Order: sequence, then C-alpha cells, then structure tokens
Amino acid sequence: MNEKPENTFCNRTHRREFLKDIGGGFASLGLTGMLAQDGFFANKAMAGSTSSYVNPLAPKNSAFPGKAKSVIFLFMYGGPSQVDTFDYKPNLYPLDGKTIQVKTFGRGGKRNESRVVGPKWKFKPYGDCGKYVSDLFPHVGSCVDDIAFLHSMKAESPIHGSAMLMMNAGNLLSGHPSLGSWVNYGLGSVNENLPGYVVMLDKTGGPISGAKNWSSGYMPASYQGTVLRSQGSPILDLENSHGIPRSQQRTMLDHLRTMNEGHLSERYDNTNLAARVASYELAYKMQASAPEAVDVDKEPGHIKDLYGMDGSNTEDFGRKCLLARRLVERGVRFIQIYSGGHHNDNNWDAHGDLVKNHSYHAGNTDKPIAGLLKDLKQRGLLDETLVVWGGEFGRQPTAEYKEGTGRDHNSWGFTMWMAGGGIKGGVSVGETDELGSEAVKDRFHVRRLHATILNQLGLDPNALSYFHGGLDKSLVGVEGADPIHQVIA
Amino acid sequence: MWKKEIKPLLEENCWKCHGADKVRAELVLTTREGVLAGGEVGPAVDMENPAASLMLEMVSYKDEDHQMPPIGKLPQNKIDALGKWIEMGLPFPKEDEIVPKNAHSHASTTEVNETTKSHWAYKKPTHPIIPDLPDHANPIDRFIQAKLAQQNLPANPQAEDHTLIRRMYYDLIGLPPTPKEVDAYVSNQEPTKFNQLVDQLLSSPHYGEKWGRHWLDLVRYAETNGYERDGNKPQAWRYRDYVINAFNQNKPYDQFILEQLAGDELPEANAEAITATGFHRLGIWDDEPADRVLARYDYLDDIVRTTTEVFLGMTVGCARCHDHKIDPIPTKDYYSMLSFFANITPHGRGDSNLVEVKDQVGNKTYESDIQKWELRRQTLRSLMTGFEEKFLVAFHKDASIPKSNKVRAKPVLLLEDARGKGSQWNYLERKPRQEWIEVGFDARDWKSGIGGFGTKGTPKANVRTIWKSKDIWMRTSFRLAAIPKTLRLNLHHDEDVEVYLNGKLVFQKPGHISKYQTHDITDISADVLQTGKNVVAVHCRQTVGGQYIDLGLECFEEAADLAGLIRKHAKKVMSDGTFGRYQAWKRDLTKHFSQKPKSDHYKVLAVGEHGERVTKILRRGNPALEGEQVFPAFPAVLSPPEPIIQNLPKSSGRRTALAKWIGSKDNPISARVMVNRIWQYHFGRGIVESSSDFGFQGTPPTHLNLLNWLALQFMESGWDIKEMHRLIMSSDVYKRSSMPNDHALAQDPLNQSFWRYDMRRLTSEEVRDSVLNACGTINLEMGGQSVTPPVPEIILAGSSVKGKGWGACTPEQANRRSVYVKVMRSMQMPLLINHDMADTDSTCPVRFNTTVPTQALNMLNGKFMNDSAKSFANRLRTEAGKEPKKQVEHALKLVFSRSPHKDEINAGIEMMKNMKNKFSLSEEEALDRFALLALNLNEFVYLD
Repeated sequence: MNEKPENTFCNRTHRREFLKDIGGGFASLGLTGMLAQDGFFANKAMAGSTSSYVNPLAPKNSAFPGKAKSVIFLFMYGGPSQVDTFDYKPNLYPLDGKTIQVKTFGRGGKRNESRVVGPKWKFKPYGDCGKYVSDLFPHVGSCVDDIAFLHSMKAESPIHGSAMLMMNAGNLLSGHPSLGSWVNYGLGSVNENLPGYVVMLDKTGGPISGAKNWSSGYMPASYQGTVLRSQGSPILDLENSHGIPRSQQRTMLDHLRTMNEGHLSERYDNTNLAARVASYELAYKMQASAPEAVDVDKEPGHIKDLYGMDGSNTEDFGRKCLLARRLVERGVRFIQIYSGGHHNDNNWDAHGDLVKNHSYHAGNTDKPIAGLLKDLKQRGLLDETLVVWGGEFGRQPTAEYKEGTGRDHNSWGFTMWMAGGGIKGGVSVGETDELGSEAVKDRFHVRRLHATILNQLGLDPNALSYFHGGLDKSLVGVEGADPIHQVIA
Repeated sequence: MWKKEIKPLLEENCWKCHGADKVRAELVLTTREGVLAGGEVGPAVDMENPAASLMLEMVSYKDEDHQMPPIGKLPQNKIDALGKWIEMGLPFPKEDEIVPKNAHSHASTTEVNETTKSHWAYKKPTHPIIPDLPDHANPIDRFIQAKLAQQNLPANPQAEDHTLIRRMYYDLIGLPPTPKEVDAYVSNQEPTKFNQLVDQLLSSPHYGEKWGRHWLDLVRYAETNGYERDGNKPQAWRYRDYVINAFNQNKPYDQFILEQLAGDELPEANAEAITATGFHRLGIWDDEPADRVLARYDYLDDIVRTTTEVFLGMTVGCARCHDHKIDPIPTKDYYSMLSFFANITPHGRGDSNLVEVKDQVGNKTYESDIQKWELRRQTLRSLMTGFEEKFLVAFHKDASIPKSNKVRAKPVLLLEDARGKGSQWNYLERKPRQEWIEVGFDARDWKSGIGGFGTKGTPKANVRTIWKSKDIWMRTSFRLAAIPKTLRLNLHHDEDVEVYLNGKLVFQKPGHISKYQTHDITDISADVLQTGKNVVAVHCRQTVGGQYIDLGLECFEEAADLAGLIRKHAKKVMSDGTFGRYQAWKRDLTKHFSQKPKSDHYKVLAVGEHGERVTKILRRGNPALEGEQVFPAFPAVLSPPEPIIQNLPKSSGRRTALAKWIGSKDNPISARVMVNRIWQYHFGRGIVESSSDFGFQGTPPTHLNLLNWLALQFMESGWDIKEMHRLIMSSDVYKRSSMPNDHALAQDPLNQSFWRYDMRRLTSEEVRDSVLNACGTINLEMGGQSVTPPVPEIILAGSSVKGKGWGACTPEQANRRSVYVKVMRSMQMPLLINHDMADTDSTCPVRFNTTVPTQALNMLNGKFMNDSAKSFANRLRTEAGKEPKKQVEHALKLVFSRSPHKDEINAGIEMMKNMKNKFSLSEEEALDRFALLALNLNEFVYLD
C-alpha cells in the first residue's frame, strides 16, 4: 500500500477496520498477542478465541522498509531565533537599529515596519560542507556534515498555544493525536517493557497546554506519551509502594494471577481478561527493565563527558540526551526532549534580552546535542535514528519593543534541522528572505516535516489514517503532504 | 511556447497536486477543460479579462492566504509567461492532457437525491411488523429471536440473580449492590422482583449521576477551555448538575433538547433552562488564536459538530470545507446549520460567559460564596487600612510637607450621600442586638447596599437600594486623618431617625422631611471623634406613605480629609510604590461590592445572542473566501420542513426553531439516534455501532426493525427515557448470561445477534467509585462545585505552571463520586485517564477499552490504590473480625457482590498465609496486601 488511491476518503485499510472496532467498544485491545509469543497461557483454553485480535502496541510492519527505527525530537520550546543560530544573514548585521519596512506577524500582531535587531552572534563555517553556524552552537557546528538544515519552515500560528499543537500534532486545534502517537499507532513498539513514546520535560516544568502536547487526542490513551523523569523514579507508579519489596510483589502477583485464572477459565473466550492478566506481568517486567534503561550513571566517564554530564549547566540536558540514546537502543520509538519549560525566559521565548536568553538555552544544550549525534554515530545508530531539532516557530529579525533586543515570534519562516535516519548530511534546503523574516524559497509547511518523519520510518504520510468523527484523519490533514525529498538520502 | 515554457512550468509546479498525482481543491490543471472549470475557489482563468485570472492572482503571492505554488513564488518571467498563455487563449495540445484518475468512489452517496434520501437513516421509520413469536412477551425479544432463529443461533440462558443484580446496579447507578441487597434479591421469590428493582434503581438519585455522565461524554463536558492557559469555565458544574437532575426528573427528551439548544429563548426561561444552554459553552476555546476570524468559525464549528453528531447522528462537520465526501451533506447545508448559531455572543474569558439567574431554590452555594466574598472584602479593606495607617505616620513625619490648617470653602466629603455617588452601608431590617451602634460591633452578616434606601417615588429621594419594611438599621464607617473643627450631617429621612457616631447618639428627629437638610453636629460629636476609623449607625422607622433614609458627613478641614491627603501626597510620602497597589485595591473593592453574591440569584454558564449576522458559505472553510449567503435550514437529505423562526426580544429565535425540529416527531432520525444510545449504554454496543454516525460511512444497524420500533415507542411515550430503560431491561436479551458458547462463538464471535450479554469493564468512574465504595469511605453527597482529589507530583508538574487549576481538597471531598471530579482539559487523574475516561476535546459517543501495563502499575503501586487498600483492610477488620477466613470472605463479598466459593476463600487465606510466612508480615500487613490484591482482581473491574 504505497500509494493511497486518490479521493477515496473511506479507503478502508486493515488498520482502519481494527480501530472502528475499538470505537464500537468491542475490539480486544489487549496483549494476548504477546502472551501467545511468550507461551504464557499456552496451557489455557485459548482455542475458543475466534474474534479478530490485535494488540495496538505490538510491532507492526511499516508500509515500506523505513530507514529510521526511532525518532528523537529535541523540542526547543519557545522558539529559537533562526538568524542567531543557523540561518546566516550577513546583510542583517549592518541594519542593526535601523527601522525598516518589513511585514511581520507575531504575538504583538501584524506590523509593516520595525527596528532591526542585528544578529548577536558571529557565524563561521564548519565541516566539509562549510555550513555557517553561529557561535551559540560550536559543538553542533562540528556535526554539520551529518545535518540537513531546513531554513524555510512555515507554521500557521505565531502564538505558543496553537503553534505547539501544530508542531506536535499537525493542527492548530486541540484534540488531535501527537506525532509520537501516530508513530506508535503506525509501527507499534518493539520493546514491551518500556513505553513506546516517551517525553522528557524541562526542569522548570512542562510547556504550555501541558499534557495536550503528548496527548493521543481522538486515539486511545494507549498511544499517548509517557512522561519520563531523568532522575528519581522515571515513570509514574513504577516504584513499588512503600514497604512492598519486589519479592513480596511477585508473590502477590502470583496469587493475583491464580485467582484471575480461575475467573478466566469460565470466560475463556474473553481476550480482554487475558490481556489484563498479562498486563500485570508486563508491568512487573517494566519495573525491572525501566530503571535499568534509565540508569545513565552506569555509562563510562568519557561518554558522560561527551554529553556534557559534568555537573555544569549542560548536565541536565546531557543526561536526557544520553537517556534518549539508551532508550533508542532499547527500541523506544519516539522520544521527545524539551529544552525550556514554564513561561517567559525559562524557555527560548526571548522577548526581552535576546543575548541572555539564547546564551542560556543554547549553552545548556549545544554540547549535549552534539554529544548525542556523535555518540549515535559512533555506535552506528545514527543511520536508524532520526534526530529532529527545532521549536514551534522562529523569531523575527526585528525588535518587538522600542528598546532592547527581544524578538517576537515568527511562524512565516524559521529553521529546523534533521540528522540521521536516512537524512542527507551537510545540506541546507529552503531559504528565507535577506532578513531571515519569511520563507521565500522551497517553503516547507510543518506538515512537510511531519511527512518526512513518517516517511523515514517507513510510513506513508498520506495513507496512514485513523477513522474519527466521520473521516479518515491523518497527521498531515486532508490536504496531505509529501516528504521533503531534497533531504532524503 | 507550450513545449518550451508552459508545459515544463505546469509540470514542475502545478500538476502534481492538480491532476497528475492527486486533485487538490478540486482543481485540475492537466486538461484545458479543467483549467477553464477551475476548482473550489472558482475558475482558474478569466478569458474575457486575462489579467484578472485567479491563477495569476494566486501566483502573484499578493494575498497571504492564497499563494501558489506553496513552496515559493515563481520568478517573474514565468508568471509573465502564464499571463501570456492565458491571453493566447490557453493553447493546450490534446496529447499532453492527463485525465485524472479521480473516479469519485462515493459520488453515488454524496448527492442529495431520491436514492440517498431513501437511505435507512434519512427516511422516517415506519411501524415494523413485530415477528409473530408469542412465546416472547417483550417485542424486543421477538425481533432479536427472529434473527437468532434465522441464523440458527442458540441464545444464552438467563444470568444468575447475583449476576443480574450487579449488572443492573452498575448499569443504572454506577455502583455495586451491598451484600445485603444481593442477599435480599437472591432470596426474594416474587416473580416481579426484577421489575421492582428496576423501578427502585430508576428512582435512586444516583441514577442521574450514572446516566448524566453518559450525556456529559456526548456534549464534550469540561470545566476548562484547553490551550495555553487552560482557563477555567466558571460555574460549568451547574450544567453538570442540570444534566444529573434532568435524568433524575426524567425530563422528556424533546424538552431536554429544547432547553440545551435554546433554553434562553423559552417564554418561561427559568434558571434551569438557562443553565442548560451551557451546552454551547463547553467546548475547547483558544483565548489567543492566531486568526480571530477563523477562531470564531472554529467556535461555531464545535457547536455544529456537537449538535449534529449528538442529536442527529450526522457528521455535518465534515462539510465545512467542501461537500461531505461520503454523505449527502453539501457545504451549503453545513453553513445553513451554522447560521442557527451565528448570533451567539462570542465565548470569552472567565466570567464573561456567565448569566445571572434567579431561582426559587435559591443559590445553593450562597453560604460558601458569601464567605469567600466577605473574606475578600476584609482582605482588601485591611490592606487599604494598613496602607492608610502607614501613610498617616509617614505623612506626619514628613517635615517637607507643610501641615495645612486650611479651611476650605467647599466641604470635604467624609461620607458621600446619594445626591452624589452614595456610600456603601451594611443594613438590617430586623432589630439587631443592642450593641449595634458600637465601633467594635460585627455587622458582617448584615446585608449590604448603597445608600439611599427607600421606595421609588418618595419626594427628592435618590433610591439606590430598595427598602420597603418598617424599620432599617444601617452602619458604615469613614476615616479621619485629623479631628475636624466642624462636622456636618446631610440628612434626608422619612420618617423618624436616630444617628449615632461611635456609639453616641448625635442626632434624633421624628417625622419626615422631603429634602436633604444639613445639621451641624460639631459640638455633640467632638468628644467621640477619633482619627482612623469612625462608625456611623442610623436607625430609621417608617409608619406610612413614602419612605427614605440617606445620610452624608462633611467637614471643612483639609487636614481631616484622609482620602484627599492620600491623593495629594501618597506618591511622595510612600516611596515604596505601594500607592499604585492601594489604588488597585480601592478599584477592586468598588468592583467587589458590585459582585456580592445573592441568596436568590446566582450565575450560570450560559449563552446569549447579539444582533443578527449574515452567514455566507466559506469556500474551503476559509473566512477570506466568502460565497453566497445562506439562511437557517435543516439538512436537505432529511426532506425537512422550512424552519419557522420567530424573532424574540433578546434573540433571533433560530435555535428554538432548530431544537423544535430536532425534537419533533416528524424528524426522521432524532428518536432513533437517542434510543440507539440508550441501547448502547445498556449493552455496550448500539444497534447501530457507530452511534454518532448514521450515514453511509457508519455501520448499518444489526436490527433495523427493532431500532425503528423502539424509536416509535420512544416518541409515543412522550420521549420518556426511564420508560425506555424499563422496556429494554425487561427483555430476555438484557438478562442473558455472558458466558461463552462455542457453537455461537464460532458463528457470531462479535455477538452481533445479541445471543449473549457482553461482558464489560467498569468505566473509569465506576472503577474509582467502586474502590471508594469497597473502602466504605465513598462520600455520596450530590452536586455542587467540582472537587480536586490529590494527584501525583509528576502529573502536576506536566503543566507549565505546576498544578494550576487543581486546588486543594479535604479528604471527605476527595472521596466524592468521580462525576464530581473537576474535568480539566490539560490534566487528568491517572486512574481515570488510564481507564479511558472520555476525551473532552470533541463529542465522545463510545469510550475506548484499553489494557496497558501502566494501568497495572497504577493499580498496584499508585498512592490512591495503596491508601484505599489500607482503609479497605480496616473496614474488613471492623466488620469481619480477626479471623482471616471471615476477612477474606467479607472482602470477596464486597468486591464480587456475591458470596465467594470455598476455593476462592481458600485462595485468599493461602495468600495471606504465604505473605506472613515468606515475608514475616504481621496479620495486619498480610490483610493489607490481600485487600490490595482484591481491588486488583479482574472480577472486581469486569461485569458479567
């Protein structure tokens, strides 16, 4: 099913059928798929199971062989400024302080003229490709030969709330499944002991709209992101309750299973009941394997150094990046790490002092990000791991207020980048205008980014659909979107 | 030119999306005919005036919303070439044309014509022939049995009594029966016991909590707006209580529709009906949208979708941008439906969606409201007093300010009478305790109002607050910066009056006057005046005719005028910037007085209308692409009547017309949609499985005749929902066992024929309520503001402002039923979301039923579950004593709602023994573990 037949909105794929069943409250969203694998209830009378049976999180075949198996989305919440990071605009420096005619649209509304804030950092060429990168990202600079820059990103909203939803779920309106949900829906998870979709938040808190950013929207909750902490107990309720050691829990679970099996024996056809029994065993296994997976302290010193885990300002993000690599190794499909949380200068939202804001956030993340790319590469994992960097939008080349260096939001043109997972390295595609204000060449709507991510995972962005509210819905919307072929190796 | 310029240009930039690979926006550019015909936005070219061609406008990038190709603007020479090509008359060699392979697979169902109108759901149900099966008393069973017999399927026997009673309890009230109730039912030999129990449960107030929750799923009920701030929808809980009450009162369904869609337009729009219109305000709402015009349409779209899917089982929302792709619903019908709601006032922040209503029952939350209000008033007042005192100290210390002894010509108002703004008074109309005149007297529980007090029409009276009773006692205070040399009273009294100042009688006069008079009270008041707070207390008595009382105070010394001094000097004296805050408190206090809660009035989340708006079709759903004007009209495929709209004083009457049509017996679809939902909530699946989509994409009914028959019964009964429960529940099909039967399973594994009753997991609310119920700690208090039970840190921390909107909660309140837990859009309790509570961003007709390990983690390790296990164990110790056998038996009786078998009890005893021996746990600890295990059993969370 490479190509979906055109104009057939109700093209009923096998997956569509399955989900309609769930919608009817009847499908067995259980885990007996795995049970069968494990031979867990092999002695039980499962033969009576005649209803069609699919486990939503069991691994699924992709539409075509994908290059990437996992995605790490480094979300620069608040919106980093492109002209101060990766979109080199030499002609912007001399305009600093001059008021010029330029159309902008930000938090402060639409304007036709504003005062230019020249880029606050110097750029220099890096790598074989000679890509110009600002002094904010020297470490990332050293990886440019593995990176494809998308300089002409375009989003539909310059307001955080809706723009976050757009970047995460492809729609300005609330209620749609996020990218990670789509990936798990499309591919399932290969590691039953860990959640397939993991979100790591900034230490200052979640982004605005909170859990809506990793929600499964109209899909079942089994596809939603799981918040994972890089320190302490990583997942909600992963730790045994106080005073119940693991050995005790094992015994309790054995008794629970025995009693549940008695109940099941008369209701042998009910796969939901069997799935629930299995879910306790999976939970038990998860309790053992998740802490091991997140134990980054076990990593050797030189690896920690590579990620900037040295007790300095890069420690926190470095820890999360290293954790992400460990999760990728264990088959987690989709990992999102937030740089920035809460409000104002706790994230990249530099309305006031640009230098202070961006120095802080870039300073915290530059080395860890480069460390992640290098580490993935040296392990041969970069080929199958797609790393995405960017915010919900970029920033304007001009000042927001009469004084100061703060830049307002800009959804008309901004930069994101991708690396690994079958993406070409050392390329830059798309252009903004001379000022870096608006995408003018090869404009890429956010949907194109989403389409590219799905495509690299072996999913056809225009065919992967879910039936809801009378329509087959897809991440890329009714309009559809094609992958950005220029960056695909 | 074609070969060298135009074809490569089109091929490279346009054809992929417009003809070759796909056809977007209905525009085909791979044939000449296609170019001429154009797409959704109109013909691509204007042959008469080529320069005005839409295609040229699109490629010019002049209009932000219409830029083609999307990837970037074409170079000018190519744009020019396109212009020239159009001027040349569009030469397009036949051999280069590509006919798109877009055979529209659903063309046969998307047109409104006689064929689509005869789709089963769109034509009126007619009385079906009830199969002649005299063995079955209930016609439902005749319909079901006829099909079973046809398929040669055996039906399951009736379930056992203890199974039935548990099924009925959860089904109707969402709670399990107590062991006593089970025993009584099982041992009851009356043949009528089943129907009696149905009646008993239907009259339980908990019925409304269970069935109201079903309705709340449908109407996307939430108490916050979603998006960045996830702001509160104040008073949304009143809509929830309205729904619960409506089910409990067995409000006829047509009335229920009418009140929710148009309660404000009813001639006797009482508090209840206005509360019901909260329906229009429950959806997601972005307070900071990128595009305000579009956001307005998004808001209306939410209402159109919810209304059409919930009441009509039609996905009209799919026709917002283009004609429906599967059903015969043209875009025109979408906008015609939208125009019913077009005059609704915009959704706003916080309090702006509230409407004040008067209710005989009174304001249920008055006590807590007034307490909160008074607390806020006191806080503001004491903040101000604190500032004033600090100011006075600083003012007197500041030598740079000459202390004036200035006596003004114009009086300084210490207390303003009603000829000006009036003053705020506390008042009482029955005799207070005798200390009422003292400064220290607490008059907080008195009523408050602005003076003057009296009846309209009294000569020279400026009535601000109505006073009609015989006597009035009033108190207020004023503040002095210094003791004035003169003090004058401006008084209007009708009739007898006494005025006290700081407890001393300073003026007294019988009879009435008919204008304000000034009295000098300097001498008599000199010894009681003080700097700071002074209290005036007034008693006025009425005997006959008009009545009025008002009073002001004035002096002439600038030095006494605290307010004036603050105005003049505070900025300088109070250098710490507190003056700004003081002014804000002052403004807040004034505003606060206007918001004093009333005992008989309260505010509800409700809808209003403003003006009459023109509705136009928006092509591609884009407000910039207005098409022809439309008028309110019902979907054409239902062959509806013209809406009869009567203009009303405050609104257009459009929603009434819509609601009356939906709730009319001539409506072909409404009754079937509702009875199908009732069936679905009883059986886990509707006769039409896609219960909000009766269109061509939906699942066809498994028993159309039964559905039609039920719908007709429903309407004939006067849309009586409880009667429908009785009818359905008294059938054999409802009472069937859920056990497997290999023969039937092989033939009908999905139980499409209803040969058995399908097992179901408890809903998220039922799981939580059942845990609380097992513990015996459940708080069954009904109604009122929502509660916020404790939520784990990691969940609270997911918000950008940790835990915002999720307040504190007493342990008693935390044990309320789940229907009363606050429904936030950006954050949910793990136990509820894990068990698939309704998503609130859009209408939720069917809940998911997922099983994932995180549920198990939460049920085993979560704090709520472990705390609950402890209190469950405590209950077992209290009620069953010390013996493990008794404890286990009682525990299982409570979680299974039946007497456990011997081997089950033994398994429990074995477990406790094992825990004790292996881990040297105490008896008590072992029981705690068993209690946790019992709450994790499959049988506890699954119904037969």
